[in-house]
Amino acid sequence: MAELRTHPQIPQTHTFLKADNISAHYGDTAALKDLTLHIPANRLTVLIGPSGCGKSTMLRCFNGLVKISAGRIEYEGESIRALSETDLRRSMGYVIQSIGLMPHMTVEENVDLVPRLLGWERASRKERATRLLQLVQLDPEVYLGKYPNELSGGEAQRIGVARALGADPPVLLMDEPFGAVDPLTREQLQNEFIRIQRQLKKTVIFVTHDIDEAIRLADFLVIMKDGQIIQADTPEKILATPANEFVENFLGPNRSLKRLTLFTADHCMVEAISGTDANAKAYLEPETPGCYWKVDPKGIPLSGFAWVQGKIIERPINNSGHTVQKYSSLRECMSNILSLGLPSAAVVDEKGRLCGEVRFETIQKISIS
Amino acid sequence: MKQFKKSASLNNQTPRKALTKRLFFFILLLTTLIVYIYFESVQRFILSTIFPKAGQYTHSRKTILEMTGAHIGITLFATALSTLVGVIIGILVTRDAGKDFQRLVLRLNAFIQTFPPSAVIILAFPILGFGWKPALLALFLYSLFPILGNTIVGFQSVSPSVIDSARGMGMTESQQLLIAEFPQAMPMILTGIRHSYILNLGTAAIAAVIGGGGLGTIIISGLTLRNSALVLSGTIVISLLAFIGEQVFQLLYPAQS
Repeated sequence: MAELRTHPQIPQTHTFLKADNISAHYGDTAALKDLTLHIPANRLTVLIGPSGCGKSTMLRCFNGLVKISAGRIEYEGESIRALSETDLRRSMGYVIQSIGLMPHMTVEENVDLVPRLLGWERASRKERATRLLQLVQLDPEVYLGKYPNELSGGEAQRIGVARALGADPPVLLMDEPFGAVDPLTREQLQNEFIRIQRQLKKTVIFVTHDIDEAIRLADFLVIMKDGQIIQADTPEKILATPANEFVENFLGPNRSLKRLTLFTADHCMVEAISGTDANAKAYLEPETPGCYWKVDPKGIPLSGFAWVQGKIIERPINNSGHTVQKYSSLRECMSNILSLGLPSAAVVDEKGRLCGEVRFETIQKISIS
Repeated sequence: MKQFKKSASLNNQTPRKALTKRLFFFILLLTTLIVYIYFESVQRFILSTIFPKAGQYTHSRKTILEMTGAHIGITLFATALSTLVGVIIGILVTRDAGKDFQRLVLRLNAFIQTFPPSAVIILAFPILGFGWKPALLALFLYSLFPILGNTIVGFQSVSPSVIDSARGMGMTESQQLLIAEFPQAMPMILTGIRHSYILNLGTAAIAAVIGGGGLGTIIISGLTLRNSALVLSGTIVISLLAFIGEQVFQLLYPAQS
């Protein structure tokens, strides 16, 4: 099943961000206890655990916002103590839950900040800001001149991600970046972040307390408790063989359903049969496992047809909730299939055009494998 | 969210109108002030319609113009001095290194505020002598409180997430202060300065007690001569100066209101 995921498995990549035997204290309380963690390069590492487990502290150790009291953190082979704190931080994008956009600056000035600190030319900064906004799918003409208080939560967090990518840093540190938005927006932001990450292949350290988010995004999953690492492995392995009862409890009761969040729609989709007319019988054999999709001339699906119990049924597609996106999880596909009552879910691209379908039987095969 | 955007776009039109309106008031007030202090005939005309029996409408030795000049001078000097000192101390005690002194400074500041300015003048007289110097000291101490207090509150009101992200993106201490914190504390600081200016404008009248000049001269001689016209004349100018100052601050920082 592993080949369904684009990312080659973890052990093959080199590490250039390492924490060896580190400890950190807040006053007298130990937040991290003799902890060793090697972050795989160009992969997304998720730190997860109950609150107070030290996951945010761990993250903040990497850019020196928290000083370690023992041990050593290496960045590209050098101890971070040897590097200037500001240079270190400028080479790592930083995204936090409360975003922290400068309220007195426009979106452009906010996205511009790190390049400006690094002394980039004005023209290349402007170009960079425009490109970054396109990357997070916000129209630069509309958004560059806006102020943070004119943005919705989802938009602001996209700007937060764009700002962190400002100077194209090799590392991104993200502290519960999607924690403060509603579930629907969160799913959207996750989809978009998966797309961005596949394109840019940054070394990402991502802190969350949402296990579904963790399983969806992680290439490498680190489960923490009381300042220590309980288990660190690929999410597939952790789901298959939890190290102990704590991990098992943490993963929750429906692990087979959680497995579905490991895969995105684009890996399991097959070509869809579609046409602009409603004569589904001409296209569908009774034993066809998928659907026939009626589309408009642009390719946007209008309704789906399928054989169910000896007759053809039609289900209209009225809104974006009736289709899934390329980076939606199989769990979303599953819920879509169940709610529409069709044997497959329509997958659409960024412009809403049909680009394939995910069939129930494929999902079934994956969940039992 | 949509509603918010709507109101934001509505606001885009009003600042321009508001600006022209403020500019208009500013020019109107300034013209009134200049006409009043420059022409003794105007002073006489206005005062005699209110107090027909006063007899004397101008100060015997000094013109209103001279007194206004001295008054503005000492007020601005004192405000500038307390702005400089207040903002610097305010910044220092909101840094990590200076946080321990914050309570002490605030208490000391409140304590200084309880000195009546006239007492300061009398106490400072043996050291600083006659003239504007003891008056300046009194005004400075008296107007430090609002500026220092507001500077501290202004820096405290900067959201911790903004500071965290500023540090996280690799700003140095001074960049953090100048790029992230100062612009956000600015409205509060300006409110403090405005407050101090108005406070000083009124209090500067007591400078006359010690020969410091200013519009207090005409007010005090009006009081001793029991001539309300003279008192009113000084008061008119002080009020106009207060209104004009207010307009200047509004123009400087339109977001405030």
